Amino acid sequence: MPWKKGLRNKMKHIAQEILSYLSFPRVDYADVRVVRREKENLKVKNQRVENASSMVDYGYGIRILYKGAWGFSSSSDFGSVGFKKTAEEAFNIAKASKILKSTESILTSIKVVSDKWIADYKIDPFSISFNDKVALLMEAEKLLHVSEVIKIGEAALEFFKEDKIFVSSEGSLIEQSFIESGAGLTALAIKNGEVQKRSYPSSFGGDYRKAGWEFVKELRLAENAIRVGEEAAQLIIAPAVPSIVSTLILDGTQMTLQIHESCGHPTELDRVLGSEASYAGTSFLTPDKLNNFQYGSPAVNLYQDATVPYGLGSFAYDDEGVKGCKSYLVKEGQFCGYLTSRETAGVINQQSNGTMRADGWNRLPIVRMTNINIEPGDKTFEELIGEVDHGFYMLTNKSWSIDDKRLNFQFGCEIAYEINNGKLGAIHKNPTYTGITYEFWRNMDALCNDSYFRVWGLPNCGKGEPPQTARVGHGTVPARFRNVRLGVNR
Amino acid sequence: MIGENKLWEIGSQILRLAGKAEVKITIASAKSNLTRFSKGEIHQNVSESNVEVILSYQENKKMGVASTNDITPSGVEKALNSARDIARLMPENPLLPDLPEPQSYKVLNSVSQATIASTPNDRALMVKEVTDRARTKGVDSFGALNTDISEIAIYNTKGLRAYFPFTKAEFRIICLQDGGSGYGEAVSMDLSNLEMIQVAEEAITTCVNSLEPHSLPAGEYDVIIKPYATTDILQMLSMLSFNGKAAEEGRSYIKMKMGLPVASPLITVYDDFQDPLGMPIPFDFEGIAKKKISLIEKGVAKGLVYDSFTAKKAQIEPTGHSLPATSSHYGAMPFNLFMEPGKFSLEEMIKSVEKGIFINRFHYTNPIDPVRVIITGMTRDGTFLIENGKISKPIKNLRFTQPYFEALERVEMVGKERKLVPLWYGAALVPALKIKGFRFTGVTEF
Repeated sequence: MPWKKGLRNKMKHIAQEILSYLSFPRVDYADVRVVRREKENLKVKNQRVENASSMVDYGYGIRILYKGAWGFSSSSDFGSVGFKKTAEEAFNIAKASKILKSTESILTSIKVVSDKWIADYKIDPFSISFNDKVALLMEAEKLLHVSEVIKIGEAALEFFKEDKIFVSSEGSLIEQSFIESGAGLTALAIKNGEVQKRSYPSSFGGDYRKAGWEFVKELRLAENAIRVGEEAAQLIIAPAVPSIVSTLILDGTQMTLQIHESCGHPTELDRVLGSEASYAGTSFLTPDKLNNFQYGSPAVNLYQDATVPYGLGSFAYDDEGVKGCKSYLVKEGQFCGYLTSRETAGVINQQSNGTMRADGWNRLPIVRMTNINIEPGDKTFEELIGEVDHGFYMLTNKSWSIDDKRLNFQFGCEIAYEINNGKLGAIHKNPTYTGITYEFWRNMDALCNDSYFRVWGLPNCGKGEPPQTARVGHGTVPARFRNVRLGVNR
Repeated sequence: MIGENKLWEIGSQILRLAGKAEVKITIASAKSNLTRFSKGEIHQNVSESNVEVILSYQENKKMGVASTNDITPSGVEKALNSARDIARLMPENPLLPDLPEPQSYKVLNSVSQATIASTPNDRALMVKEVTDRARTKGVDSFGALNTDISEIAIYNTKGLRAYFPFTKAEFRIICLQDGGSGYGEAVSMDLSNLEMIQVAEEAITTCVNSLEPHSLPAGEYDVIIKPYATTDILQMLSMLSFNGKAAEEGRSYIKMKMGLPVASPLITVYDDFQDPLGMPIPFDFEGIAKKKISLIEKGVAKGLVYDSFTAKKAQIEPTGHSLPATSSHYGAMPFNLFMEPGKFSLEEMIKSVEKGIFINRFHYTNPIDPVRVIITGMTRDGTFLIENGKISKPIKNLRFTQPYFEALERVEMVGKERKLVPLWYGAALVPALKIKGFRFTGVTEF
């Protein structure tokens, strides 16, 4: 359902009322976000509805900078009493922060804006009946069961809607609204204590976009289900990828995780400066390496882009009121940029590139990925494979792990095909590969061309304390890496 | 705290609206505060107040779930209508379990007034005390102190009525300097009992001792793992193997080996909801009274945990380990884990190793094979070489790729001291372990 004018006006008035309570003495800056979210999840497992749920989550968050120290408080208690109490709490928290804050947080200046953004979609997924949604999942799930070894079939849908008002003490007023849709299939083949998995179109429940029901139809779940089931069954009897050093080709979906973990997270400037040290860690991409470090081969061009039309990480303005944009992180192999906020950008004498986002009303904005994409190369897929004497083509993420500076990684995929003399050969199971981030990217020698480019949605990026989940995107094409260590199951 | 009466007011209104349907209501109220510090200074300091209502509506073997944080009469009515609409559009599920009958619960006290009364100033001053200690030792400190004041109420149309208030204080600290790194973590229901100074000293000492680490080639080494790493093993087993859902779907190693050895005879693991040494809670998210469950006894696979959905399929009684209705498709999980202590001090365990590795904690672990629980991950925040029974030098972090059950089979010594380590919900009280032949498959640069 489109953002109703009545609700929008109500949220705007709430935000402005709260802002009016924030004129405490010595407050350097304050902002208020009023956020309403709706979510629908449906999952069919083995021809039964395993999850059918809807969620409404509505509240407001207040951020205050007092003498260079931060305070944040949030509540779902609507009404003037709740607003005043929460505002006062945010102020008191900021004052308490000052007890242990000798270096003042300073925000870089931005343009004050008054704007409204509603993301495009064609068919409102919340208007489609649960009956129709279940029918679509039932049909696709049934087709996964191509063999006795397919013990579990799953088909799932997820729809997400967010309406948000941002106001700041500087005078910005921003209204944003979007709908996201996602769908996917998974077949689990189980035999003699072994489990093999195939997913479509990607892992983590499928693929997700800023789009409506039309995206679910485009995915053609039922048309892909039999293949997915057959591949899962074949994996049970397939040989494992051997422990060798060889050429590796990654499909577009595994490229999403590779970019996410080894480029997206390490270029978050708050992480680089130590904000996340106590959780998932820091980054090897320290400021001394900016414009001074060969991250990858000259073929590697990585950028953040919040403006991609359907990207899960797209938006008009971040949660500090900074306009979303496109900027390079790695250009022709050289590390050249970070994901920044108003505070962190100032530390390296830059302006924010607008990547501060909060996971709802009850979380503080932190630096998050937008859509972190790789620029395509010039190869067809056949050429990418055709130039390989021996190697493996790996598809669809199954496991992931990276050290706390984002250097040593190990990924597992669902399926691999052996490449012999430029041709795809037999299916192999349990594919894994490992490496050191910059060595791996320096060994990337080719990419598919832009006809293979697609922005994949990743709805489960974790960061922060208390934990926050971001919905981000990754535009990828299949890519080729030389001299990679494969097959590290033991 | 909102209080039992107010929560019952919300719950009883929904029960009145439910009519002849079967409805389960979970109301979770929370006030959460977190003071986060980086390089010895507070950089994030947040608070959240929320009340969430999760409704599970059952009618004619059909079920719908809706959640909302709008607790006004119209807000919860909308949520109930939404759950009802979803349920009525669902196909029948003959395996849908009946709602649980009213239960009697153990009386447990998990509320600390000190935790409730703490102010942002109190938290800032407590953090300052530990960051000052780190500063005087010349190391940077990073971490978070959080306090949660929570209430959970479960009601259903069969008359089940459960209410439990509880508090939690949690602290973690990482110290970093010149390639050195140390970690400490503590949890308690009572902020005034939270061992912040002790874990800060632990992190500072580990950091100072691990400066300028050396590189050690990957390979198979005997290891001593501290309780932080032991907890990771139990968490993975909880999700992948102790879970009744995993058993139902044929992917639980414990289920496959029930009654047979799966670990060293030195290993005994159980889930106990009422042991005051843990973080006690009397019932699960369905309102079912928790049972004490033996999971591994002297190395032998003994039990699993079930919610009502997985229990019905297994044709047994649920054990009181359900997740919230919006996450129930993940199955059941133990959240009050205990591993029995052994006889050895950490020093005695180190002394027994000719050449091996001392590991403070694991980082970013993830399953490669969910049945055999083959896990890959990194060591982090204090990894040391042991030579001739002594810690000889700090080493750079290593990647391991190791079946966790195989690691448990190879346990040669169990520590006599245990540490309470927080889980997502609840906690684990676990000792250090000596494991023979742990498999490292890579090395990183720090």
